[in-house]
Amino acid sequence: MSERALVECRALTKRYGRKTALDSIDLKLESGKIIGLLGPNGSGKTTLIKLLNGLIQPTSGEMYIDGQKPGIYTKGLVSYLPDKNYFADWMTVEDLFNIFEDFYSDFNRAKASEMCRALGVNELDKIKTMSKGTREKVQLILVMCREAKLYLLDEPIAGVDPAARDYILNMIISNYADDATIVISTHLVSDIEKILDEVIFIKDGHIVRQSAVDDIKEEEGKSIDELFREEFRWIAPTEGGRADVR
Amino acid sequence: MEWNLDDSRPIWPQIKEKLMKDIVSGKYPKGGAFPTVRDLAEEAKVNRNTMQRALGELENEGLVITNRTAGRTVTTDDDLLAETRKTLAGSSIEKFMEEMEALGFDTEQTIRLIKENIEK
Amino acid sequence: MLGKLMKYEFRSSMGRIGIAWGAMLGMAIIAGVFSRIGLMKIAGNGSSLAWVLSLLEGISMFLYVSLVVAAIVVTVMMIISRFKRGLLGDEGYLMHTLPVSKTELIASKGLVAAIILLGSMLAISLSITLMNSIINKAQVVQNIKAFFEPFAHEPIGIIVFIEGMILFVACLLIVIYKVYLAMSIAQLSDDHRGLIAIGAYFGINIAIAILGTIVGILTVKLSIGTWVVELIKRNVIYTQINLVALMAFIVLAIVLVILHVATERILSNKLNLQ
Repeated sequence: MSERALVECRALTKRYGRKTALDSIDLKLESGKIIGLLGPNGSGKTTLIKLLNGLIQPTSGEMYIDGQKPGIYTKGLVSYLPDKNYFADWMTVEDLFNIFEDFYSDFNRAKASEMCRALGVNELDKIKTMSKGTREKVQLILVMCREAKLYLLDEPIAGVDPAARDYILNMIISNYADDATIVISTHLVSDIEKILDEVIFIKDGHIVRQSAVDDIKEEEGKSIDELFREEFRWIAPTEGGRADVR
Repeated sequence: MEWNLDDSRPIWPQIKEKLMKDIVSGKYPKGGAFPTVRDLAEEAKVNRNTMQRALGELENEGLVITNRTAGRTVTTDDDLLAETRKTLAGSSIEKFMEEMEALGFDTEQTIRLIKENIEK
Repeated sequence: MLGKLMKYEFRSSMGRIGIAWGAMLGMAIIAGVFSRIGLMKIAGNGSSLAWVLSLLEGISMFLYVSLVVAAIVVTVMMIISRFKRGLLGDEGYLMHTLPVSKTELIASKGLVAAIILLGSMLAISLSITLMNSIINKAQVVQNIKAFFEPFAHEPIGIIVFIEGMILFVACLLIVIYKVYLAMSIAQLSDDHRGLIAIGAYFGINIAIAILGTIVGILTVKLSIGTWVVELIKRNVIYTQINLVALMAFIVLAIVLVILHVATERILSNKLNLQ
């Protein structure tokens, strides 16, 4: 067990013009945990994730991943699943595997191929010919077949049909290294709460709660989903609709 | 067997109970191999740490033994198994009696009802 | 990592541009053949065969010119879109989270773009040469000889040729980087990126022109000319031509570095992927 937390944020702030997306956040994430980053749209979840994977720079404050500020080294440790597709049209699955193999020393090519076989994805297919669901599977395979230290999954199961959700959650919990940390940002709390060690509730750029899941269940006697809905007075999205906060 | 886990209570005690039942019922025979944390966590669709905690408790109670080379095995201690079986039965009975009390039956009436239902 | 990035750049670009080049070269040959046939005057004047051949010659020539224009357009569009899509669009989510520096990302696109631009220019020249060779080989050979003749004098000729090529490539890179910087400035905003990019491009050109004028004035004021003549006198630099080439290269290099660093700074600190 290392003494140093995998991720440490101190007074981390991100402003876009006049809007403050993250307001002086203090945060520590330990290794070997699956952490839910829960909050409504616009709460700062995506901003935090983009800061962690180096897509954006903080306005002020500090952030350390494995003791280093975000940069080339940390990008090699972080495996990121965005909530959109990031492939170029012409690529085949095989091309993508080649890219990941070339740039990431921790990419497990054999496992990725195996998962393709298991999911019925043809490596020689072009991305542009695939259905949305298949593309998301491919992206998840790419992310989970890296032996990274920090996985950042931005809404991995939103927009996926309920049958595939179980499969994806299974893929998540069965495919990471023991000392790795997975951060899952989502608003579909009830689907994922069984796999979480810890939850972080984020609202208006502030962290309102960071607790172990078991502690919440013992102290509050509620499921995380119930607590979440209370905390955010959440209205569940209707089939295919957008989620809103009252 | 289905893992029916209630989200409003901590998961690991529920897992521990189910595994205990599986052991005494013979699903994991005594002295036999016990699955790994990873496999169980995948099957139950829970976090590895959660499963590890439940298994840790089973180890503490001696129901499961960890060999460094051979992984985990179920205990061969018959006395322990018998005791566990009794404890589990005890908590089932306690729950049952609570339910019957909530329905308005006292202990004697409950025992009579049980006999009637069994003779049917 | 730069090599790997360039490899992927090539793979994504070569398909489309290769077709454009191929079609253009193919049509050059066809147009050349029909022109040659026309010159040979096989059919009698005014006969319908002569008329048909003449028509084919006209059409093929028109198609050829169209394909040249198409090749140019495809090249320019590709330079812009590879940068825009690759680094400023959804693909950016992949590119900017790879463990590589922004400099490598930008340079890989810029270098490959320059190579393709150069390639297009060579392809067009080749197509013209091919077409003309079919029509009149001897003339073409003579023209080529005439072009290279000045460089054939003494070994210095080859050096000058190489220097020229280097300066030319540097200019290509500058043109490309101006476009990149303009697009990077445009992505700072959420809307009207196209208009801002065009405005920024003009702005950059103006800025370079102003800078150039200032440097020019400084050169005169600081009497760099006399200083340079001194260097020649002391045989520090071989000849005037090399000196001019060197100075031009230094200027171009500085401009290029400034453009690159500006682009890199914007994409590092103010990346605004949507």
